[in-house]
Amino acid sequence: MATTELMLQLEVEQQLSTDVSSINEILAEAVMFLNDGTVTVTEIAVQKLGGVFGNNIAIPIDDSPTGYVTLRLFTGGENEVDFFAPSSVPSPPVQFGQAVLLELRDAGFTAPQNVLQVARRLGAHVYFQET
Amino acid sequence: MDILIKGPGEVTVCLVDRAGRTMLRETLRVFGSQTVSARRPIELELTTSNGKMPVSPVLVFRGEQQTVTFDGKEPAAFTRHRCKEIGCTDKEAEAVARGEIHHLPRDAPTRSSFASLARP
Repeated sequence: MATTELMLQLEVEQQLSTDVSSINEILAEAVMFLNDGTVTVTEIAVQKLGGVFGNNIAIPIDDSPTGYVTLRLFTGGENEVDFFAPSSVPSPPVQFGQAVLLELRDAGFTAPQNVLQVARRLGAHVYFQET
Repeated sequence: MDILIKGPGEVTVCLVDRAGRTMLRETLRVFGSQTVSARRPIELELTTSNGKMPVSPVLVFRGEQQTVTFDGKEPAAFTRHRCKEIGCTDKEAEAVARGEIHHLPRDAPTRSSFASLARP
């Protein structure tokens, strides 16, 4: 049976006005539908640039240096298998892959005054095969 | 509110206040097959030192192969409706829906600041 090499990438780049004192969590998802084949995840990676800083004092206060990335593989009904970044080792094969969902998360912050500045990029990619 | 993107490419959305000032700017880049989709839930209320501030989303840019909806609605129509909800006049709402907004103030971090922000 033929093997299809697939890729899924998602990146969020966020900048906020310094008037904003409460920074919401980042949650973003990307989804691709599959053909009920056997799925092997060959690489899943996450990277982050920038973060949350004290306004005008450049003190980094971001406590989430990488963000958090999960690849959710749905295999029918309510069944799913989750893979966490980073990994560059092939996963065990999973049968009946119906869809993959790449989920990015990064922390939110709240300050009593407008003392935060935010410039952050969070990106993830996954390479996988469907047979 | 959910931003739903269909197709690979880059989408930029700003959240603006009733005066059309950008409070948040986000770019979402998604790549994969031609049928890839992405979802980004966002709050339509931000907190400032003056309290809660209702905001409206504005689609600033999308890739040629992409379709974008705000809560299932066409972005300009959603923006027009939301702007009126947060207190814009009809004329202001039309302008914001066309993408006529004030971008982030000079003191806000910009893309180049990723490299230039000083570390202790």
